[in-house]
Amino acid sequence: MLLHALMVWCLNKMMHHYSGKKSRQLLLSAFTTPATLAQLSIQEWELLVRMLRANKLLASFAARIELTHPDLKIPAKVAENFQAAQRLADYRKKLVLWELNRLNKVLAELDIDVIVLKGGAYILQGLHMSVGRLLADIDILVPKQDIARVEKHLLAHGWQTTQHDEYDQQYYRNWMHEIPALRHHERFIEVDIHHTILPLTSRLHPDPRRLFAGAVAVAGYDCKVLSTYDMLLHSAVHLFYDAELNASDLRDLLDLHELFSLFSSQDVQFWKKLEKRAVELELQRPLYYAMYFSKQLFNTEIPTDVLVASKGRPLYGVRVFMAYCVPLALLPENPDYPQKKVAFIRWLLYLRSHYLRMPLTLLIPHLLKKSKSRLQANQ
Amino acid sequence: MKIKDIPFRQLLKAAHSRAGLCIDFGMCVVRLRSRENDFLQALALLYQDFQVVEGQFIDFHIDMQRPVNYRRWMQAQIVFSINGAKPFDPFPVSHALPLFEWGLNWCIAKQGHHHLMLHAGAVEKNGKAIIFPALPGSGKSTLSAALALRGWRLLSDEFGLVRAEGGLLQAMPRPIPLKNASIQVIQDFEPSVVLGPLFPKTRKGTVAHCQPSTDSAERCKQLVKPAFVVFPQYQADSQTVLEEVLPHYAFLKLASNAFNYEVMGRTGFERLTDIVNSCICFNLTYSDLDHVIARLDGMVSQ
Amino acid sequence: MAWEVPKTQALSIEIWGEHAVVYNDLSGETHYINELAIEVLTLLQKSPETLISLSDKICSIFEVGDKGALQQQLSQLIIEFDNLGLITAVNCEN
Repeated sequence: MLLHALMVWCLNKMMHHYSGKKSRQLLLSAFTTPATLAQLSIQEWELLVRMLRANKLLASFAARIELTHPDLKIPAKVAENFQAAQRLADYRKKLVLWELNRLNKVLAELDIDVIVLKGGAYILQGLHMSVGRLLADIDILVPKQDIARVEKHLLAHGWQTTQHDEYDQQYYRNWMHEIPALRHHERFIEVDIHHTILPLTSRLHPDPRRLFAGAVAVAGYDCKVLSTYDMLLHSAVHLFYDAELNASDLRDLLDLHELFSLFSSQDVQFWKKLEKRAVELELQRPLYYAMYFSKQLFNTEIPTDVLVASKGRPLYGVRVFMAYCVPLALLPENPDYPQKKVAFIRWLLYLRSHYLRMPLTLLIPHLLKKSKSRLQANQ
Repeated sequence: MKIKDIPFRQLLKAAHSRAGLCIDFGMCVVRLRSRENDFLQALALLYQDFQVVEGQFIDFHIDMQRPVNYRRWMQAQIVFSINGAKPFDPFPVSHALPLFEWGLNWCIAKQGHHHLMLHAGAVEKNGKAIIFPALPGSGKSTLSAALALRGWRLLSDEFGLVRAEGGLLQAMPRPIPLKNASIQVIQDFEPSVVLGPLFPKTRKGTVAHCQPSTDSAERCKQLVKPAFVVFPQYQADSQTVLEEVLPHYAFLKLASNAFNYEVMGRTGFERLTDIVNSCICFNLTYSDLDHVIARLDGMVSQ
Repeated sequence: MAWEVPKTQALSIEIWGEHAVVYNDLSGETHYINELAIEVLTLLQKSPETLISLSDKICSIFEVGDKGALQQQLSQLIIEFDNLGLITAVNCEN
């Protein structure tokens, strides 16, 4: 009895030490050295499942393990949780493919260039990282002069706007790089229609015409996807210039790691061409961050001289700040031991993301307007 | 060790601690942490035959705590949190138990996709299970409670859990929430019934929970093959009428009433056609519980 | 124009007499279909059919007299099937 109590005490003590650094390490090793999973205790598996679930990575992690380590012995309860998460992800993927099928059919009537971005593109190209990746919506890119036609055509074929608030409608149209999301009245998946890949107010302005010029065809579809380099750069700029950099964005860094690993293995000139393309699109800075953090967290094989020579490398002070903050913000915490430090860092990066998205003269009135309508809604 | 075999003070100590009170519900293990002693007392009564476990994989980490905000000085509130997230608005602290029950159901519906989850009660006798798919108001909770009080094993009053692999029914016995007039009906039907506290003014009116039988709790991991699908409809003063229905009717009714039929994709389709093809499906109209139970007893004794 | 159930399309059909349900793996949706729809879908699973060839075959199965009314009904059904993603249009020459 006493021995048992002592064991339970030790176990609790041990799990307590899974706050902070150690829980982050548990998650990262699961990705970088999956063979070590075989040694995990059931409590460590449980914590891993909790963190993966909180980050919407449970299904894609399960799919990775199934692919790369099919013989790994996984405890029955963990396998059950994997299976349930994968079913949901498969279903979401099916809905997205079906929506793409319907969009493709209707937009083919217009004879304009349509590029499917991000998750939708990974699915269309059959990239293995699309398996288990939880998708919420579809993003497409169309030429700015055609966006009104696309919207009108979709509205005539059963799609409806999801934004009914007049201020939100105007805000989107004036300052964002997209029109308010549309959704077909019989289906669940929202379609975001963009005419460029960053808000008009953003500090970076990659020219969408260059993206269209480089786009590549997909078998069986009229829609296209971005070229490999542009796909990577888009993912990078989205994560480091458009997202808030919290735990739910870790998935995007994982995408980048997968894209780097896949494409660099297909072409010896890959890194050189990528840097060149980043210069053309003026996206050197987001590319630097993508390479740096992908290597730091997931051990991506990126030559050190590529990083050092990168034209996007920021000043030393910025590098130190980002290198400290980004991993803390992106990696999940042990849900039993949230840290104040992490909450503060996420808040700082949240401010950074808004600052990057719009000039202060626009940002402050926007945030005031949003908080005012939130107050009114609460009353 | 069963909850009822542990001194209440020790249960409280566990629920107050960081490690929490871990209860095995058969299909899932829940870690519960709370300092609400009234809630824990009701829970200990209704779940008295369930096992407290240690060192097992935990599916749901649930905290039932008071929120830290100014409102707590005005009206005591309680918040349900799962894995650190708080998906619902706070409840009055007196309604902690209904909130816990409802929240746990929500967690299962959201994560249990290794099962086809029918919105149905289910009971078993002689190795034959009956699924009662039904909308609220059909009387399936009352009927499930009455059957459970007459020696049937309660599988669930809310979730017909069909395992994705193999198609057997997975039990999820829980206290059955009886609403309004049903509380008196069941007390009259079986005066020895053990009910939890009365909760007036919930969203569904007054609610009291009926304790699952010892047998149901002890066999909560035992799977069973479905033999009948019965669509019940309570109708005052009616005769007991069991009318066989066509398979496509049963299929469509089951599918449209499930929690995750679409999510399960082709597997959902296959499990449901299996059920419809291997079970006999009935529409049931009834008003007298003794009468209907006699009919159902007859069905499973053949 | 001809129509068919694409070979890549995995439909699961469960038939109970004159009633059936069909699961479409492309959309993830399940549909209830009647006797006429069962025949049409089964024919289009075997090979592509035009509206004319389809109505000829259906006519002989159900021994329908009014061919005009049947064709009307079939063209409605085909539009519906196409919208549900159960069938696709193919070129006659193929």
